[in-house]
Amino acid sequence: MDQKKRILIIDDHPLFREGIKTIIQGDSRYEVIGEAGNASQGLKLARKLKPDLAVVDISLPDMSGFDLIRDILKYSPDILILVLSMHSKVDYIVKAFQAGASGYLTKESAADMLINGIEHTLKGDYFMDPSVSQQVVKKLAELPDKKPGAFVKGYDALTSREQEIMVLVASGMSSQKIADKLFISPKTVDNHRSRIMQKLNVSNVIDLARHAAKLGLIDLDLWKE
Amino acid sequence: MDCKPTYEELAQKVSSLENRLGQAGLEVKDLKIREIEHAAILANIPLFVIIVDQERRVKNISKTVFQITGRSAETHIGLRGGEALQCVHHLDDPNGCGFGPSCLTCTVRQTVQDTLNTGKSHFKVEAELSFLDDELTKRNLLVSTALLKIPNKNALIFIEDITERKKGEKALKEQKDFLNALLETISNPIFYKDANGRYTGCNRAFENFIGKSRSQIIGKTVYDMGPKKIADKYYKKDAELFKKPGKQRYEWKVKRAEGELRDVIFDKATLHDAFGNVTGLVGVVSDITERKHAEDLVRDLSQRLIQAQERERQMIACELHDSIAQNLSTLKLYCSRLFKDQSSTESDIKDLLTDASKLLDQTITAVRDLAYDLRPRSLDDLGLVSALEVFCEEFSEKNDIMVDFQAAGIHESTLNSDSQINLYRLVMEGLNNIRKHAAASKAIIRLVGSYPDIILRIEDNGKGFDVKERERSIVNEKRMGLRSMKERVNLLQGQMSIHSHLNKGTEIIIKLPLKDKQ
Repeated sequence: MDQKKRILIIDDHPLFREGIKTIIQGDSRYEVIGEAGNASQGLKLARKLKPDLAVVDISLPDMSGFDLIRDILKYSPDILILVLSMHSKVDYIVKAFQAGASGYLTKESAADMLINGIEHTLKGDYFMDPSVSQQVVKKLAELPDKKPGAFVKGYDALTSREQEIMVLVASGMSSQKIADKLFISPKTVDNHRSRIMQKLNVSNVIDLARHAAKLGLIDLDLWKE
Repeated sequence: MDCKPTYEELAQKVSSLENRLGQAGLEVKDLKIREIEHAAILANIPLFVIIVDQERRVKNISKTVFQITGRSAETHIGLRGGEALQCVHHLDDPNGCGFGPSCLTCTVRQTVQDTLNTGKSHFKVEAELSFLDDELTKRNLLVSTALLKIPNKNALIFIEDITERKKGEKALKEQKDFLNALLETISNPIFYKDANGRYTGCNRAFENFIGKSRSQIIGKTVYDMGPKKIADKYYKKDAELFKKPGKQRYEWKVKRAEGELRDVIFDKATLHDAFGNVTGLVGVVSDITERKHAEDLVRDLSQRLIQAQERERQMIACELHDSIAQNLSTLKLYCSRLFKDQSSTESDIKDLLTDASKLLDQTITAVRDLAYDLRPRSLDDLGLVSALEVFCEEFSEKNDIMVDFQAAGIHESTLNSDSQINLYRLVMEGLNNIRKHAAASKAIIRLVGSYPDIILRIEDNGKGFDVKERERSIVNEKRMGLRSMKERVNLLQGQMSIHSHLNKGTEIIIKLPLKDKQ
């Protein structure tokens, strides 16, 4: 028989920890080699014990579980992570996988699905709680038309100063006036303005204003059917 | 021999000579007395008195001069006037006083010279002279001159030192200028009246306050300013103060020029002359309308804060009791049935456990929703934008109102957690308002970073309302919704504007100053 797979549990709720420990120990293939009640302790144990798999909660008292996952994987990329969380929101699931988790399970499903999840994760598969997979698929399906426009991305790339200048340009203020208002030279304003246009991929002020209105930066009727 | 005088005649002559001698003796005595008197005058008169000859050389001088020069009387004799007085310019030219370049414009010299030349007297001519004391000091003088016709056409000069008086006058003028500037700059309206209640002056703030110019105010009484009924009240207050001089302070309501009613405090005090008689009063007006308003607002706000807290507690209690405690009690019942009913079949137990598991799921959901309402965990875990996305999505699903949410330019790392929770709550309150009142099918939320502000727009295509009408009723109705949004925005020192028309939807634009993370 293979050696038992070594599992670390990181969850701040002692009773819940006890519960899942009982479930895991009930399976002869696995053994629980350590428990932690917070992120820093969990990280310490993960580095010391080098488990095959860590069961990680997202809501921890000292640090977000997403950050903990990243930290664990930074030091020991071989440890597999199964997230066990109260949250069933899609955004949580996405963030967990982005952070490097291999599996996601809600606590509600833990009683039925935990062993299943551990099994799949250890095999190297990605595992997702069936009760949330429906949501995830739905979200994926509507993603294309929910994708933010290129101009939102462009606007996200603006610095604070560029934001400050963009709204003034879009509302029709001259470079000289903007310069006076912000106590900088008109030349600096022009430099900023051309960088803004470049980032937003527009070539004239009218398009710039149109973008600004779409973003909700300046007033313009949003109800154009 | 007949022409020889007789004894009688001789005796007569002797007696007349004796008389004349006696008279002359008396005259000499008289002169002596006068001389003593003159010397005493010269010694004690608080003026510089100098007698000079045609060459302006000192023949005699009063003792006051010695106090500045520190020299004895004799040493002055024969000096020229300027040198005797220690004028700094007598050193300008080797020939001494009267020859230096400054002497051409010296008022003292010119005045004296004019008297010597023409015999004309001068009375209190203002002049300045720079003395060489320990240090150079400029003194202001009044010069009076007269020609003594006999014996040698000497000139008599009186010089009065008015430096201290000038200094005093200058200081007084500066003080007056300062007071004037202060009065004009101060934002409190200030007025003063004489003992008859006539305005004798005021500052610009007072002019603005009552909407009249100074010339329309000075010389008038309160009876010239407004209706008799109101003037009577002011008059009564003034009379009280005059009757019991000192200070007076009272709250009052004043109708301003534009007709606006303001809450003010009057601080008044009586003015007195040197003998302690009341000559008038001075009054300062402090406008406390804003403060009163703020106080009312705070009182109202804390009252509603308590109400909101109670409502929240009620909601939690209700949720805990009606849903969670009920479910748990039911579960307990299931448990006891499992223990007691030993006779039940395996399928019965299975059914029971299925029900119990369902109930547990419900309870978990109820607890989670409750916790989420109290504090959305997603805000801490996912950040503002994702948390709002989740909220809007769920709101869409639950209420059948399509919510189009879009955020741009939000640099979350720069947002502090207070700003985050407030923006979250504003969106939540905005959408809840739409759900309750707007009958809308679609809502648009735009969150845009626009340094140094954040702009939040909440729009719907619902039935809209008359903004002015609503703002009026908002104050009276104790309804939350818009009002609590507005208060939240005010607290964050932001601005909120509402645009709405009947059947044309509503648009709320909120601009919050970005508070940098500390």
